[in-house]
Amino acid sequence: MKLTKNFLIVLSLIVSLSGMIIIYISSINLEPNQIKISDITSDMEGRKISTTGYIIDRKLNKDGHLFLVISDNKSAIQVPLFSDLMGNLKQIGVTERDFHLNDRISVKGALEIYKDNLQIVPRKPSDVKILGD
Amino acid sequence: MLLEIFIFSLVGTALGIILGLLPGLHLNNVLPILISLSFLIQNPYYLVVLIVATVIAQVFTSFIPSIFLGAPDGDSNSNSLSILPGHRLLLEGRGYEAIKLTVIGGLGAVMVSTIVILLFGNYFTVIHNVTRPYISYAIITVVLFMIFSEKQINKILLTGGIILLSGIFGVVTLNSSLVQQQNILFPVFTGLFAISTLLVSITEKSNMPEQKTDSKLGISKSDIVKAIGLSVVAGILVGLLPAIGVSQAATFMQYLGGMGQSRPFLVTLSGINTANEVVSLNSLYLISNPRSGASVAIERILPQLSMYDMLLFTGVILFTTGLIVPITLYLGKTVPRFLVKVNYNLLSYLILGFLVLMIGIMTGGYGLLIGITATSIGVLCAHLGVKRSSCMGVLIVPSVLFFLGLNPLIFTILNI
Repeated sequence: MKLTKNFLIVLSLIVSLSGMIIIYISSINLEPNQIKISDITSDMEGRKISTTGYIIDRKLNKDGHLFLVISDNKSAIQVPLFSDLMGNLKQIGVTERDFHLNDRISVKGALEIYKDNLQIVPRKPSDVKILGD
Repeated sequence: MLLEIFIFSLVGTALGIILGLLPGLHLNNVLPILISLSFLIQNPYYLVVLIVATVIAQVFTSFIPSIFLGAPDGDSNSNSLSILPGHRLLLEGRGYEAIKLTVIGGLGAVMVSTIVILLFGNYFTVIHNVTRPYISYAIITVVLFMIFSEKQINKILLTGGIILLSGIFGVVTLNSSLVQQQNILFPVFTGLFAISTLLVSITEKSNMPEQKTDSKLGISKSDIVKAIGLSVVAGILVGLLPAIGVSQAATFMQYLGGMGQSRPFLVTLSGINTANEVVSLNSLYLISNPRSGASVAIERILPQLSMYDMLLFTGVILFTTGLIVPITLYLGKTVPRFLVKVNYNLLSYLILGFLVLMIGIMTGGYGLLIGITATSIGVLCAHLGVKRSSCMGVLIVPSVLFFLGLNPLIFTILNI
């Protein structure tokens, strides 16, 4: 088999497409760890996690971002719902008015650190679920 | 205190040289260690001075491995694009000239951006707020420019194809959570630019010719001034605005400013890199928002900053620049004298192995998968004869989707 230019082009195209498919399949099947808020630590930064907690603080800012703080009675963590996500939630009938203090919500997202505070950043509407009181 | 500030600046410079010369490493990798050692240093300003000096020294010296070895540093978004034009000059025997061009770009950018910050720093918040809503339009315009600046229809289609392919790769990979976010760009950029260049070089059996160390520069003074001017503007925007990295800004300047040839591009890239670091270090005071790993670390050490703190940073930046310029030029002459005696193909294999090992250690098996995929896109781009900067679609496409507010929709469709 000769390593001609055309052969290398086809081979690299096949490898790149195969790689992307495998990466995609791996990502959608990688379930985030279900974890208690009090067990979340800063060395988990960058990992996708899932947790539930009660809303103990909520602030809506002028740009349409809704900043929540949820707690499991032992620890608390920030959950920023940015305006683009709020826009998508609105399309399925969920607005900022639906998030009340003491509501129990489940959140999935990447753990990030912002100004020394841990936060879970959900990215799509299905990452946030209001479970009730 | 004055003596200690100079001592910590020298220590930071030495640390920056080491980090800059070692491929795959960056200050961001050692910042947690430095911060954990802060209890040993009485005055927090000394640690801040060390960090500032390290950042500046590393910016200059990191071009040495990227040009001579084809290996980027750990913050691959900053100098990966230098690999190809630098490699081109290296194979012409003009590797020292490539280093000199990056030094000129960096030095010019430090001087000009320092003056701009001192004179106009108070207006940066306005610039930040005014430009942010229009970023997506600027990026889309440049992408269209990248595609349609090609003259032949097949090149237009191929360029668009590579941007699309790398863009899809970027959307899937950067949002995958397979690898920690702070490390994801390393396998992506190392694969797209470094490993693919090394593989092509190995298969073409490139030999590093004797390197000339004369003072000739194949670029006019007016082109240098233009490159520095554009790089300072781009570096300031990169330093202020989120989601726009050095490589993307360099790509924009390459097309919008006509800085596509190897020499002006190296001056521009280095200038953007340096101006970005200068602005990022001062961003805490200028826009109350840290814009780099180093400025986040500084914010933890010194939460409240005054104008005099900014002046201290500026002084350390200028002092370190004054030291690192002659050191980098000296290393730029010394390193190739050693490399010419080495079998370059063997060296390329060793660097390749080292980069693969670093990807494996830093990002694990998934990182290697990402690296292989990225490498294949880079190799495909090289063999199709498409400009390597088209691979910047890996960041440009996700940036456009982010600024257009389409991310939640894309994540829902892809279920990632």
